[in-house]
Amino acid sequence: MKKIRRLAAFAGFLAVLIAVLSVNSALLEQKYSKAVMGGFYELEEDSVDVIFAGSSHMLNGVLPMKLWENYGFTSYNIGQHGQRLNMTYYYIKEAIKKQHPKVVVVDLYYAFESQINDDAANLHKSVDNLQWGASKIGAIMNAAPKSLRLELFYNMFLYHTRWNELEKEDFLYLTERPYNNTGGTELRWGNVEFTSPNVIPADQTKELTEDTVEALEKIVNLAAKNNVELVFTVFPYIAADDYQACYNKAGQILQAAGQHYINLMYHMDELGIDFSKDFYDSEHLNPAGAAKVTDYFGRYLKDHFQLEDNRQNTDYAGWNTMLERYEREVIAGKTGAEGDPVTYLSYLSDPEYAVGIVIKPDQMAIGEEVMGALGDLGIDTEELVHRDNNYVCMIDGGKILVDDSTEAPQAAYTQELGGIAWEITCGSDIASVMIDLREWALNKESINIVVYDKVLQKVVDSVCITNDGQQLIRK
Amino acid sequence: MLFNSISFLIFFPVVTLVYFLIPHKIRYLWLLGASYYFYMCWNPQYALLMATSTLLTYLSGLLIDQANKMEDQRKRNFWRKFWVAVSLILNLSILFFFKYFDFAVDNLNRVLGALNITLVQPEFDVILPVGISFYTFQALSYTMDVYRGDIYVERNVAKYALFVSFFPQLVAGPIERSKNLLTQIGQRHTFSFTRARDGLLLMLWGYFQKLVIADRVAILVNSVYGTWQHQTGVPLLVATLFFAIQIYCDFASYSNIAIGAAQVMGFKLMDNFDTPYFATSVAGFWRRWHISLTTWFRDYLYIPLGGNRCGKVRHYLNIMIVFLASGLWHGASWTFVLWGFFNGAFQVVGSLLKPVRDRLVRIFRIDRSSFSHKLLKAAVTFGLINFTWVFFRADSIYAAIEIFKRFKNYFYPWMLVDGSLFTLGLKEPEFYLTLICIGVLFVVSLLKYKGMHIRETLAKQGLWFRWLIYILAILAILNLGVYGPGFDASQFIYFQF
Repeated sequence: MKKIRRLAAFAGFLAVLIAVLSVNSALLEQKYSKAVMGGFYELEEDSVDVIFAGSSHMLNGVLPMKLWENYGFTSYNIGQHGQRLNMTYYYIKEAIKKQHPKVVVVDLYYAFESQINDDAANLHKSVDNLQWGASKIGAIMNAAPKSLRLELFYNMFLYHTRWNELEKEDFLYLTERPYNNTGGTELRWGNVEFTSPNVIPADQTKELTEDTVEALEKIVNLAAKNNVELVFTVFPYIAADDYQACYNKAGQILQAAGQHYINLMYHMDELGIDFSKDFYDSEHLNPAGAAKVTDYFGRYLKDHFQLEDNRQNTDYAGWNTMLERYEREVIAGKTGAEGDPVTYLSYLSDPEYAVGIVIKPDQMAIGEEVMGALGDLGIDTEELVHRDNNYVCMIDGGKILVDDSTEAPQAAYTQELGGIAWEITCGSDIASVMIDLREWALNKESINIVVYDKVLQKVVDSVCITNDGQQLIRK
Repeated sequence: MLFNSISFLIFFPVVTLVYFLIPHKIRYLWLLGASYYFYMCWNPQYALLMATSTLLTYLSGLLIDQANKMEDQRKRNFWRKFWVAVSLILNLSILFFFKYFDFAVDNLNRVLGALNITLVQPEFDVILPVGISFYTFQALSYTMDVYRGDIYVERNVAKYALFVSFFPQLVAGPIERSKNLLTQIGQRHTFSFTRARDGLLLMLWGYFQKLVIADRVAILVNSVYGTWQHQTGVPLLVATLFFAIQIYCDFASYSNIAIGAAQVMGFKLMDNFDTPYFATSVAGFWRRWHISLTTWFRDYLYIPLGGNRCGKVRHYLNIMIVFLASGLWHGASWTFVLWGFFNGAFQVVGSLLKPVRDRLVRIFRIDRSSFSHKLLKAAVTFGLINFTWVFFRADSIYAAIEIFKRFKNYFYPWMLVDGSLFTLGLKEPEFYLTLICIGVLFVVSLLKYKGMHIRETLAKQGLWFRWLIYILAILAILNLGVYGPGFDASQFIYFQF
């Protein structure tokens, strides 16, 4: 009897320990790109017809929500930074298991080199975000070097050191999973100007490594076994000649095997790609460039596959909601990427924004341009001239609800905006914007702005602007 | 394999589980195989060396026993001493070759070089087999115990081999005595939940000491001592104090994991550390630090030399011999010899100054049993021990002397409060965490010093409290331990001995 009690107690202890360690892992794990696969796993099973898989070229280069908006095709982007083709195989395997898509579009970026990947950070981004199962185990055993397998199986070997780097999002992750509003795509705002790259003739080729050919064969066989059509693609970017030669070779091999292959480097005019406007950096498209590529894929998929346009299908009404959220995400992205204070202030009258502004007393006067932009929002700028005052403003959907400047040592307001409670406080050293009891104001300069999106139901930006309007600070 | 490795975390439960499932009669064979496998994970060839030492001392036991049966007393005495001498010479020769050969050749070259004589350099590099100092001493203790009649002769070579190679304490102690460990090998051990829980808790404490404390302070110690030429007094002092913590936690952790692991299997190993930094004299420190080595030297060197049952000069000489030997045992380097020298010298000087201290106590009417007096003695002892640690840690005698000069000439106290401490290898949160962990170590040590049996006391608490402590300990080790990418599974300091 005593033995049974002891065994039961030991089993109970193990159960509690495992639960605690699970919470511990969830807390300490790196949250980067959690939302991409997090969003994928939240999709209803078998609800997606097209999967986009591959490296960061894919992750940044295709917009599933635009595909829905313009063509009615349901799709999801499961691209990951630094993902080699041998890992992409497992991602496709997971996608087939969960969604049974009709078409998988595969990015060939890494075809230019061996698929051996010893970049721990990128491997973690791919492996950490897969759910436990055959695909994850297979990915660790076959697509990661032996030296990294232990930390991929138990990633606390790597992440346990994060105990002194924990941030708000780590704790929030315990109760709220990050929501992906972009169909998996990572939107990278900004653009760097390049001149168009040299594009080599399509018959110029270079041999692929053995493991690259092997990875391609595995993907083709996997798709064939599961009745999935494949489209292999190369995104436009500043590609070296020998890399392009490898893509051409891959294209020959794949086309000979009866596979769809589109090298977008040879369709740039058709795409309308502008290397001075469409690139975040030399390798990755920004949303403007991605929109062009997405449109091309939309036409290609429509012309070559039997995909349904589900825009009028009431069963897919949820996708319209997702589209709406995506559009808000795009606006939030634009807001979050804006670096010019005056332009930034012009975004704050968006009908779906709730905005809190705190201007602390300061010796410096507010610059003319910033003052003008604040006035354009409907703020009484005459009061802002008194720099000894504490100033608080609350804007809801472009309408000023609170616009108060006071000589009192402290100004504090409580108001419901966007359906949640806001508490804003301003003092000589205090700039506080509490939304639902969480602090959001940066409090690094005199002018503090917190922007909340009512559709996305989250704070999309928190900035400070210097008095002279020269700088916009985010962290 | 290292205790702080995944391999050991798989190896130990498997070995223990099988140990308790197989019949008693063959359990020692299983442990023998497991122990040799454990050792061969370092280097399979080293196992041959250990087997050689095992065989030599095993045979010495048989031969001494055979000599004991001789009727002629002169012959009996001669052959008994002969076999002891052979065992000592052969085993110490092996130890000398692997540990001291390069050191001896270097020093010989220096002496000959001063006389303008060049010696041909040996063309091979001798690699020190892990744990050789430990198992050699352990095996030799058997020879001498048989000679003294303190232990029966073990005729079962496999049981004897297990005594020498028992994996929990094989590579870094405690250095066990045949009277304790060899006798346990023949006993029946049944699984005891209470004993196993206690052993696992001790192992958990050992892992905390090693992964959370020792390896963390080592980051600062290595960073500062590695660049001592560019460091001033305060960082070097902090690093020295941290080294005191590092070497204690590193060594004690191994012993704790060893003792705990053995306990799970039903074996009781000797204590090796007893709150050494609370000692109130250097002699007292050595009764609390590396107890198994100190008692080994006491029983097999100090007492045979006469111990303290001889004239004062001879007594002091015996102390110096023992501590010089201890220094040399720790490493083939003059820094270790000097370290041993100072430890011996402090005890000799302490003994010489006892009448002076007694006089001062009388004059100032000091209550020797008062807390303040004990605190003063402990602080002075800690200071003296830390003085010796500089020699232990420094690369060379020159480096050690230069470090002391920096204590004196470049001591800038403001560095304690101006944030400089966070630039020595541990950032601010890590530094404070280190201090908190040292605080935990202090509290646990104090409780032990006061006579509390912590694990027993814990066992009496409510289930929720015990589980909370276990889970917090595991979380602390997992989250705060220095392991994983970026940290090499750091070996225990004493493996080099």
